[in-house]
Amino acid sequence: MTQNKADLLQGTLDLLILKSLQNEPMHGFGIAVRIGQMSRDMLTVEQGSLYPALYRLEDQGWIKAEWGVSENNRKAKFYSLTATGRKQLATEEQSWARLSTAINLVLGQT
Amino acid sequence: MKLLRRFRSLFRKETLDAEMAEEMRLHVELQVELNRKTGMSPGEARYAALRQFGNVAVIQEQARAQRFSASAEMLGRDLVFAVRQWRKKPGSTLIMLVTLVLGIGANTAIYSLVQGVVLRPLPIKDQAQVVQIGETNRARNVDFFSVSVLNFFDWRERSRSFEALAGVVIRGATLTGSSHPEQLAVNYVSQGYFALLGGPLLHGRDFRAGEDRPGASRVVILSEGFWRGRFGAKPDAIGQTLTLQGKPHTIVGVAPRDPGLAGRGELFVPLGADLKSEERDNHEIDVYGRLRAGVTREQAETELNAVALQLAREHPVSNEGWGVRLVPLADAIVAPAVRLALFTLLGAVSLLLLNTCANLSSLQLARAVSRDRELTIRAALGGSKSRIARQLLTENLLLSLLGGVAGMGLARWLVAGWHASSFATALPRGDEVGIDGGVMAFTLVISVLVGTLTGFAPVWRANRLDLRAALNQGSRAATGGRHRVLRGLVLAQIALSFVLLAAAAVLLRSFQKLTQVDLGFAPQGVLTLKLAPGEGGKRFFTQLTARVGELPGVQSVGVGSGVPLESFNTSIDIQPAGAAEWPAGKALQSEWRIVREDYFETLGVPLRRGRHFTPADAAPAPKSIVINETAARLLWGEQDPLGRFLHIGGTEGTPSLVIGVVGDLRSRHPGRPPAPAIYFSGYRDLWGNMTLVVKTSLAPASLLPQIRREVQAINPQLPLYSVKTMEEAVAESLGEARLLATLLGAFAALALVLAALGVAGVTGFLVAERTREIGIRLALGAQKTQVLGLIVLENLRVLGAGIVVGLLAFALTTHYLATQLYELAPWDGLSLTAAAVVLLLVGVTAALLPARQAAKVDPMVALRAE
Repeated sequence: MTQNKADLLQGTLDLLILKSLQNEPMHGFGIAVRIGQMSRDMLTVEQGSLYPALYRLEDQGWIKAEWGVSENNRKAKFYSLTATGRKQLATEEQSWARLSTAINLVLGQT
Repeated sequence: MKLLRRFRSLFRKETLDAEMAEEMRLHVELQVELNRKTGMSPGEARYAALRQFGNVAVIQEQARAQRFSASAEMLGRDLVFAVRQWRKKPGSTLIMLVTLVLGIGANTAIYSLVQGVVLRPLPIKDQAQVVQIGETNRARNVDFFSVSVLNFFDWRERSRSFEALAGVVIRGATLTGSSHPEQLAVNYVSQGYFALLGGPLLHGRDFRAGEDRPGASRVVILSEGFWRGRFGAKPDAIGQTLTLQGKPHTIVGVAPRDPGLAGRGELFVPLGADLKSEERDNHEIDVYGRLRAGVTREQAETELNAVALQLAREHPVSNEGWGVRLVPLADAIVAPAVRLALFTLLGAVSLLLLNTCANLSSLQLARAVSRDRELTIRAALGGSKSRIARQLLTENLLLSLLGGVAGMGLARWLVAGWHASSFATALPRGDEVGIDGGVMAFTLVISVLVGTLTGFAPVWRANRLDLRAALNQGSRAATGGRHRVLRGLVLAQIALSFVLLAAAAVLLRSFQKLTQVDLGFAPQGVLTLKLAPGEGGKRFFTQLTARVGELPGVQSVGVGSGVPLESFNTSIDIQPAGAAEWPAGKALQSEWRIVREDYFETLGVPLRRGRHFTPADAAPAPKSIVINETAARLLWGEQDPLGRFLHIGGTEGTPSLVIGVVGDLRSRHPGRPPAPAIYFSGYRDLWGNMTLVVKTSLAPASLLPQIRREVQAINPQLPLYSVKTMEEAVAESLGEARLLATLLGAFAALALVLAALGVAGVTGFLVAERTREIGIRLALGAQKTQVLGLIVLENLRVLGAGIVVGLLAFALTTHYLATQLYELAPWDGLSLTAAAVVLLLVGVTAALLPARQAAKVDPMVALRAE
């Protein structure tokens, strides 16, 4: 619960989760670590938001879950992207790009 | 896929929960390992990991909420909770359920009436393009009349506005060949009738071109009802023969049920009009037309009027002054007045539904207040307001849906009763009323509406709950100033009930007046039946009346071309002959009948002056006529009409001598004052079918077998038909008025019950709240009666206010009510007072019961109660 990490909106969290699963399946802990890595520690995902988000994405059909064995030989639930999930990732990446461009334009005005 | 997964997740709750716990445990383990790698001790690592993870329970709860099954679970829990609440208070729940069933059931029944008669489209394609065409004659005050056959055929040739024109004439015909001869109503239809109106035939084929020529082979098409009744709905009916009017007709087809149109007949035969012998001024065909695409009704009417004008120039004697009018088919079948009446009924029953909602809302609100503590505790424990609202709404919706289902059952029962009563035939398309898909959808919609509306009150209240104040319910301020909304709802119920009661009272009084009106004739003990003896009718009736007059119990016998209150009318122009004061060219439209034997005496119509007809009045005696008092007054004022002469049907030809004046009678409807009427001598001329009237001191129907025997003694093949007693005819004529009064009376009774329930429920609740105050009063020395009086007085205030508001609301309905009343103004003091008194009595009684309960309270118990 550190203060200088940014709060994440629900929609952007979804995007980050999808992105982090782009290359390989991972379990919940791994996803949180990965997001932290990819953002060079600027973003931390609260577990309170992570798991609800994961279940919601699974319910939507963008990720699917399978039980497997983790690195330390424990039973773990691994999430991976579905075909629709990949499409959704592409769509959301585009939207985000458009949004940030727009905001930058506005902020660039004096 | 999504749906499947969601569906499956409903059943795997436990597994999913276990998996979730497992998953989170693993997460914590991995975090611990990570922490250890950074150098923490095992204990520290674990502690840090758990702290970082957060409140597992809350996260799990939030995670669970994301699952679809969570909503279903919530719903399930709400439903179970609702049922448990109901079981705790079975009494008031039952009252609410009964209220719902009554309200929704009544609404559904009336809606199915409106649906069956007005809203459901006729089985005619593109019915907006179909019109009925009638002839008009402004000079003779004829607004919409049957068409002359020859005019019809000329229109077919000359008019350009119609894609198709077809018509039907209904006549009686004798059917022989079975056990006894019968007289049936037969539809004589022109070419293209079925294509225009009837829809595709059920079996067989339409009439072919040429089958309506005089020499063609005779064919007949059965109506569906006839086919089912006589041929058991078997397709092999096609090809068999029926003997009509003594000639064999081959059955070639079966027609589907008529949408309440002119097809009152049971058989269809081609209209073989012999154009040479038809008379142009005989108006007996009902004409329908389909407008050509792009032609409006107004354009067609204008064009056809031009054609009519042409015909008037070519045949001035018969067609002078006759124009046309086009009426959309829907209006032709269901008159706008009937439609208005039905929609008004719907309005009235909606008032009832509103009443139901108010009733339920007040009951729910009362219950809600007693659940204040429970709800505040919920809120304190973290229940969100929306969650609580959802639960309250679910409860209400469940109750109202249950009420809706039961209400449909009630409606079904009511509709069955409708079909069994005489009302079904009183309204056009009345026999098509039923519970179909549209009606069921309607029931669903209003159930949901009622549930949502009544849920509002407790939800709104729940939202306004002040946590602390609610929890400190210990002190109950004994003012009556609270619960304003509750009292307001009761007031609304009283007002609505008053409107319905007042309307019902007024309609009932008006109906009563109608039944007591002086008809001008005496219907008691009079039997009527029709006969069509054909050739030698005069001799036949002379013999028959003599024989029937001898039967035991028969007081008098007469013959006429019709009886009062029949559905057809015949009228003609009359004017006095040689009267200087009579403006030239002016004529009086008068009703007429042909009479003989003791027609007037049998019907109880008094002879005011002169004499009745006798056999001596047959030709070659001069033409004589009997007139009624109204005609006498309009023609000659106060002067004695006997011995004067009357021109009938124009000033050419010899005028008739007035030989008698009889009393007025109401011939069209008990509510319509008598019109001028003249009577021709049946010894001189007879119609093809005449009506025998018989007055008896016995039950009229019991004479029928004997009369039939007498008829068959003279002519064995002659059927009797249209047998009816005059009392039945009078009752039938009052059918629509009776329907309205009965229905509104039923609504009013329902509204009264609802109001009583509402008042009882709310009073009971309010009294329970004030138990403490009542205890104090009793302890301080008040008498039980004083406490009772206090409660009743408060109720009276609400009742009074409700009635005042109700009066104002009633004022809004007077405009329509006035059209339905007979010799009564809507602001009828007697009815309104009666309604108010009844409502007050019921309201006070309903309040007394729980009030008495309160007065029995033991002061010590009351003081100690919280």
